[in-house]
Amino acid sequence: MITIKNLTKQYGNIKALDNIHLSFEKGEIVFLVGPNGAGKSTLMKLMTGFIRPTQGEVLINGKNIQSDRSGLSYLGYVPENSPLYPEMTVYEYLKFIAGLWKQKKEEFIDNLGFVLENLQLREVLNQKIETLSKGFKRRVGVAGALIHRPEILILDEPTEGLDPNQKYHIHQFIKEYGQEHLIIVSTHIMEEVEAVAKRVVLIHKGHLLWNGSPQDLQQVSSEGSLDKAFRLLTGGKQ
Amino acid sequence: MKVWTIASKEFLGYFRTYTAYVVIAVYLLLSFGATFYAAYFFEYSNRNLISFFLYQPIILNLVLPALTMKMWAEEKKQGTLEFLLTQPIGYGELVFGKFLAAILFCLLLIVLMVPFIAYLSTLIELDALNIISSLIAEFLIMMMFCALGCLISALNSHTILAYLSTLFCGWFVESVNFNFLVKPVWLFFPTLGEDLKGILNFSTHYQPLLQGQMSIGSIGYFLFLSYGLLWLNKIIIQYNKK
Repeated sequence: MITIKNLTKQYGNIKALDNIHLSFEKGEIVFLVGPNGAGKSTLMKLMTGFIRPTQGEVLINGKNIQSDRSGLSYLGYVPENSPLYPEMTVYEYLKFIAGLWKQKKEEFIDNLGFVLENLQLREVLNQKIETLSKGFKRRVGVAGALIHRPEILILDEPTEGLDPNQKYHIHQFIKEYGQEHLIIVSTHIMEEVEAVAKRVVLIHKGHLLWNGSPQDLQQVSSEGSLDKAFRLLTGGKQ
Repeated sequence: MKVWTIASKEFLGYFRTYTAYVVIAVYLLLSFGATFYAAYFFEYSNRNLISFFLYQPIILNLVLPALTMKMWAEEKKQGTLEFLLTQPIGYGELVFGKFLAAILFCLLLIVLMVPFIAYLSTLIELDALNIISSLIAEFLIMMMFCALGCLISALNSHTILAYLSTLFCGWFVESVNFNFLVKPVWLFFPTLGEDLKGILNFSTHYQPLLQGQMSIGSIGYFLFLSYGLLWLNKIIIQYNKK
């Protein structure tokens, strides 16, 4: 589904990503982990075509995202901090996005029901986004990315600032949706990885340090802890 | 379809954020103020409503940047640009959708003037054709200012800065005599230079339209300028990627 070849991103003299090779398939729940500033968000922005790579390419179902924007039709993406239009109601926002996907009325109603049910947004449907709590705003962001039921869902730190109940709901949703779709989530919270991930990609200072199952990553630490393994790998030892 | 989705979101956004009400109020206030006080409405025959149309470029230059300043600058500030540019919509569609919203709002401003013109027609004998020509001229300069505002908003991340920059650039286009640009031609080909004199100037094209002298050249000037500014806007959005 997604193939990343020789991907490098440089800002001036700083290499945000250095020669990354990866591929992701349907049915995977991939967690991109790494310390702050590791290059996780940069990788996501490159995967969605929002920024240009210095070198290399990203193929989505064989289409180069930089030269062929039709590759975007497979994607649902929630950027960091879930940017939204505060003056709109949740319904207006979702309808706007459905319009960009050229959804007919029946299709929109069906998809709306799906996102409202899965993300528990029914009670705030007619509320202005600016009046919502952080948790609801995050979920509205995810709902926006899901309204066309994409094959690939990319979420940049979707649980940042959420309470444990809200995190639980998002995790449950990711597990369910990830059974038949590809979900890529960035985080630096290792408990999330343990609870949800099928595969972990660890990035540090733009380099790929780990690409494998969370169980294997745990074995890196003598105590079998993901946290310790994370610290071990990102603390200087490779 | 997608263009319409963007346009309706932007157009309704003017009302959701109350920008629309402020712009309408300020536009009407300035237009009537200029017509009756600055342009001495009662002292001229005003069959072509020259007192009304005379100050419209200045008023529109003050008012329209308030519509366009948020177009891209706010998207950048809120972070929604990242979301928008990763949706399956072409850059051209995005730019045109936003521009269309501003133009539809401009049409609303023109419609709001219709009762005023209709009322005047009961008091004085109006030159209908001349007024239609002036309204077309007004719409054309609205297009130009909106395209300019969209472009400048795409170059800024701060809405106030976008407003002030558009104001300055609008004034520049309106007021500066661009004859210096055709002067080299005039030196070598005096006849051609004489023909080209004033061709780039705003007033050369706006004033004849106010007097009912419609020409393809004048209409083309504003259309070409608007198209060029929108094209630049598209290029900036497309190549703004870091």
